[in-house]
Amino acid sequence: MRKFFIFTIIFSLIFLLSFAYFVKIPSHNANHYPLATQMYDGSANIVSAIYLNFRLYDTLFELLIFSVAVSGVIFYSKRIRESGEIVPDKSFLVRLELFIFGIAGIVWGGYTALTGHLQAGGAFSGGAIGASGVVVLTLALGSAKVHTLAEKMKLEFLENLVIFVMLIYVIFGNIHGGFFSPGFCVGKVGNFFSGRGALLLNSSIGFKVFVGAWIIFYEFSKRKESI
Amino acid sequence: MSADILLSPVLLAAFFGTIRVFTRKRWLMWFEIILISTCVSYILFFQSPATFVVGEWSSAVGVEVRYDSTSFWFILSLLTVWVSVKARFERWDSFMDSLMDYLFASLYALFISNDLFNMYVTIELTSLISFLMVGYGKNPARIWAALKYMFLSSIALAFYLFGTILLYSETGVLSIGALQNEKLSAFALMFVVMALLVKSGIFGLSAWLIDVHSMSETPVSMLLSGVAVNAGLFGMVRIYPLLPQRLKEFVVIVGLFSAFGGGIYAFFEKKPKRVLAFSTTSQMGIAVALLSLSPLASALYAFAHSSAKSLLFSRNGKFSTMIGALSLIGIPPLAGYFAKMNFEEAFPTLSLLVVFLTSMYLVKLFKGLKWKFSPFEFLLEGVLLSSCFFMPFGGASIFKILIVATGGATAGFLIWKKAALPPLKDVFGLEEGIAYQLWALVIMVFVMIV
Amino acid sequence: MNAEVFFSIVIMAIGITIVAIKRDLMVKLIGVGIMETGVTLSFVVLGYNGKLPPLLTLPVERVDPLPQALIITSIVVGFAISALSLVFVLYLSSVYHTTDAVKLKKRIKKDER
Repeated sequence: MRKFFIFTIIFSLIFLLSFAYFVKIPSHNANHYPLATQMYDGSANIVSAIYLNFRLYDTLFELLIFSVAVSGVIFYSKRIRESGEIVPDKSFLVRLELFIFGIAGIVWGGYTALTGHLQAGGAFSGGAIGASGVVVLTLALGSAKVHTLAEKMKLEFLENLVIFVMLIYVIFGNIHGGFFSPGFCVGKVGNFFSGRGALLLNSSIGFKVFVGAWIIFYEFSKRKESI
Repeated sequence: MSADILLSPVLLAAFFGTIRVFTRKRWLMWFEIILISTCVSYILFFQSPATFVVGEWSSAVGVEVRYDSTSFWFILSLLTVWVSVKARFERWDSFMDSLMDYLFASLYALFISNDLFNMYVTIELTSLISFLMVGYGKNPARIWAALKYMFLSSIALAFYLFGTILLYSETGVLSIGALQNEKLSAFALMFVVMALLVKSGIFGLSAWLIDVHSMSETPVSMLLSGVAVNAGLFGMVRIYPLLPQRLKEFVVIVGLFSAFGGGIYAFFEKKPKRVLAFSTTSQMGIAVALLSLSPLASALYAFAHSSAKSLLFSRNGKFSTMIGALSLIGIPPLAGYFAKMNFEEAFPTLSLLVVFLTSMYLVKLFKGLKWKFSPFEFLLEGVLLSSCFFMPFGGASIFKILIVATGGATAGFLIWKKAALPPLKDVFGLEEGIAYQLWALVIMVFVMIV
Repeated sequence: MNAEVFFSIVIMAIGITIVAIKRDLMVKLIGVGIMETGVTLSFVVLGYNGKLPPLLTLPVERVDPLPQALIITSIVVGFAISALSLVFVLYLSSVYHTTDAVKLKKRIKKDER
């Protein structure tokens, strides 16, 4: 029975592909965002202006998705037995190198997040780069040290604080409209203090992504040998 | 300021869902229930149909939200089911509490959404929360059900995203209000329709639904079967006016097929929760088929179904089950009757057949239940009963429905008394679900070409 | 349909085929990842109507910024889903000692009886 269904899956995929090859897609070139960004937002990066300003409503749900995923990982990984830990390399030189790379990764992630409104980059990519810095740092120091650091910092609380920051910004940060129409300074294009609340939002969302990805890595690395 | 009031339940629910991490006071939860229900009732009473852009941008750059009469019914059903579940299970796990708040936020935002991508984000948040809620509890088989749901829903939503970007590249807009003036290609709409049918619990296409709804804990089943299946249906309500005529007919035929397929499977099933899960596919099929009449009829049906189905899934005494079953069949003073009236107007013969089938399988649910009155279901029962005060009675069709329902109940009772029928073959695995999705796409291609 | 969009659909089809055919749950997860990459590619390709990145400091021939802003969201969603499903697979394998979907179904049925 399973083979019959798999056969029909492959057959219908081939059919759909061969149909799709002959479909014409007209392309449309109406792009309002550059003008709107120049007038109302002021950040050089138009993508950042869209997700921190014009479509901030979607970004709120995106943050909730991330937060739900992180707390779900914490909740369900409690059921799995903890086993195994990552031991650092024996050679001092390798450890030093990994340590420097790890710190550099975290710093680079922070830089990418903070300057997200000026150049390519942004909060999400910055947070992800920083979290991979933590992964490298774990290889350098061994998981025990990094995990005690994570437990001391109460990462879950820090991560959830960011949603409060976002909500306060959404409700009280408005100048000209209702909710979700954030204020502060528009600024000059290319200036560091520009793009309305871009600096606040980039740093807090970047921090949230960094901490969330760290938590996920932490929970997985504690259960290295479960399978 | 009206847009702010419309958006405030989302922010309130997100706030209370997050605050659960920091403090676990009981009074806070009751405060939350009272605050959110006051706010939402205020909106339901005073808000007139309107379209806003969030943040008061122009609609070309911002996210559009729209509150209209269909939103009214969906939000009302969400509020009643959510409040009754939350009040009954107040001392449940604190993580699940926060998930329920997030579920409220995402579903409320979906029910006022008028933007293709905003609908994607909220549907995705809803399904992510559903995965987490389904796995709660000791039984590890639930995790497998949740994982199956995850695979099928991420395939469907990938198709949805693909359709969305095709529509965007054709027209340059994402808001549904602006899409109505454009000429859209059926090729892009096909993917969106398929994904929304998968999320709205159509028989076969939603192969995940049976395991997910029947295996999970009582409050989870109530929430998922009561309101979370409405997510896909609401997407269909918004998308349906954009479709070309042939795709509209396809959607209606799929809905009718689901109404009968789900009913037949439910009749042969033995476990009460699985009967209810198949019944959900059957009822959602009717709601999708009602789109051919008007979106409002479909919304009304979804409202009647969600209250009745959460009553049935609570399985808390014979009285509440009785009310829920009568409303689901369509017996007059209850809300189900007014919803069924529209169905009878659209499909006169088929609707009576569905009533017969529904009463046939609902008889089995009363086995092993006690007579008892529990205060937590009063809200749902009250909502089902009170709709007769402001709805017009149809008159002639009452007798037909009563006769057919009695006949169906007697037939079902007698058949199950005499013969123990084996359940039909379970064809709702992972591969089967993917195959059904692709078949639906292939059939839609044929519908468009021929 | 131009070749790039067609290619992104082919990648999606490859991902779906992997999810359907392979029995190992980890490989199925990789299939879901490949499928989401196909969607991402289609977003990038359909928004590519210029030559330069969408920065205001650059001249006018910029690509459409909206698909790029949208795809950030869908990448984050994909990350969230893959993290959650990895935890689920880890839990299932620690209970049933297998990651093979067919064997898993058999063992679950055995447990129910």
